[in-house]
Amino acid sequence: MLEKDIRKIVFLSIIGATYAALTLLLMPLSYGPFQLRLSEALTVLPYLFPQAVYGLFIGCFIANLFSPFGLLDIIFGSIATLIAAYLTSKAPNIYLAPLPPVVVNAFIVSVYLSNLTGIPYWLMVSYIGISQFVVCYGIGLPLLVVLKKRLKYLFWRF
Amino acid sequence: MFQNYKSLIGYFLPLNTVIHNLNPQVKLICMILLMSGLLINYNLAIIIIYLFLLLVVYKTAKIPLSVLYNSFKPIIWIIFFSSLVHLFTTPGEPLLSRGFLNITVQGIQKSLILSSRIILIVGFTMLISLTTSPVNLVEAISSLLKPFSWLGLPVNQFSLMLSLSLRFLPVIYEEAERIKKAQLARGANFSSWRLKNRVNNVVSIVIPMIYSAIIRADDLAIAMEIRGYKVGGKRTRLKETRFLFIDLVILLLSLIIFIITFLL
Repeated sequence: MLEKDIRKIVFLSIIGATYAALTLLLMPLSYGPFQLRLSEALTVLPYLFPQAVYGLFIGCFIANLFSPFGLLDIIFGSIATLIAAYLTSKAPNIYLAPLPPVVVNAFIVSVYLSNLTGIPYWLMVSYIGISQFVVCYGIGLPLLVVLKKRLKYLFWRF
Repeated sequence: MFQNYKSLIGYFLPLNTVIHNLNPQVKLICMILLMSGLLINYNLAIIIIYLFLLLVVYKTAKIPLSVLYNSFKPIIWIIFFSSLVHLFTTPGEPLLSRGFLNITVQGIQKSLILSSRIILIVGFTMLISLTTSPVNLVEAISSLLKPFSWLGLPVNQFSLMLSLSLRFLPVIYEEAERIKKAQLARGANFSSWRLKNRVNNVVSIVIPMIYSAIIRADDLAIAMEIRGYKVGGKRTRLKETRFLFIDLVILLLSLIIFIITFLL
C-alpha cells in the first residue's frame, strides 16, 4: 500500500514528474510501436529504493497522457510499468534488475498495439523487446552501477 | 529557454466551443464507450458512421487542419507499415502477383478498414487531448477512479500524486533543460550517437535531477505540513465541474452509438 508520510508521497510524485519530463524531452521517439524511450532507463530505480515503484507508475501515467494512443496507453502501459517496477524491486541481483521492464513491456504493450495496428504480435514483441533491451541494459544498468556507487548516502532517509 | 515548453501542455488548444466546455468526465466516458465499440466490433458500415461522427465533432470543436496534421504526424508511419503488412499477407483471390508477393482484394479491403480504424481511434483520443487541459483530464480520471477506493485501493493518494506530479512537470522539465545546458557548458556532447556517450549523457542528467528532486520534495513536504495538509483528509476543489443538460444529451448519444455498433 502507498505511504502515509507526506514527504515520501511528494518525493514519489517528483520522481514521476522526472520520468514524464524525460519522456517528453525526447518526444517523437517515445510513443507508438516504434518507440525508443530513453526514460525507460529510470525503471531500474526501484532496485535501489523500492518505493519508486509508485513514482514510476505515476510518471508513466502522466507521460502517456500525451501519447497519441490515449487511453489504451494510459491504462495498460502504466499497469505494465507498475508490474515491471514491482518485479525490479524484488530482483535478486543488479544484473537481473533491468530484465522485468524488457520482458513485461514487450509482452503486455504488444498485446494492445498489435491488436490496434494489425501488425503481427511476435514482430511487435521482438521490436519492443529489442528497443527496451537496448535502453534498459545499455543505459539503465550503467546508471544503476553509478547510482549505487555515488548516491547511496542520499537514500538513507527514504 | 521555453522553445520546447509548448509541448508540455500536450496538444491542448484552448478555445471556447461546445466540445471544450463539456464536462471532462462525460468526455472521458464517451471516449471509452466509442473506443471500446471500435475495438470490439468493426466493419465498413461502422467505420463510415464513426468517420462521419468524427468529422462533425472536429468541425464543432473548430480545430484547424494544420493542428490536425501535426497531431497525426507521429502515426503516419505506423499506418503505412500496418497497411503494407495486411496488403501482402491476407489470403484470398490474387489480383496481382510477383513472385511470393500477392495483392488480394481481401487484402486491400482489410488494410483500408484497419488503417481507418487506427485513424479513428487516434482521432477520438486526440479529440480529448485537444479539447481538455491535462489538469482537468487528471481530475476527471481521479474522480472516475473513486469507486475503486471501496476495494481498499489508495485512490486519494493516487490522485494527489497525479496532480502533484502534473503540477511539477514544467518545473522539472525546465530544470532538466538547465542541467543539460550546464553539462553542455562543461563539454558534454549530446549530439553523438555512440552508446558510451549516450550513457554518459543520461547519467549526467539523471543524477543531478534525482538529487534536486530529493531537495525539492523535502521543501514541498514541509510547506504542505505547515499549511495543515493531512493524508486522507477530505478535500475540496478550486473549480467545481458541473453536469449540465448538454452533457446528458452527449452521454446518451454516445451510448446509442455504442449500442448500434453491436447491432450492426
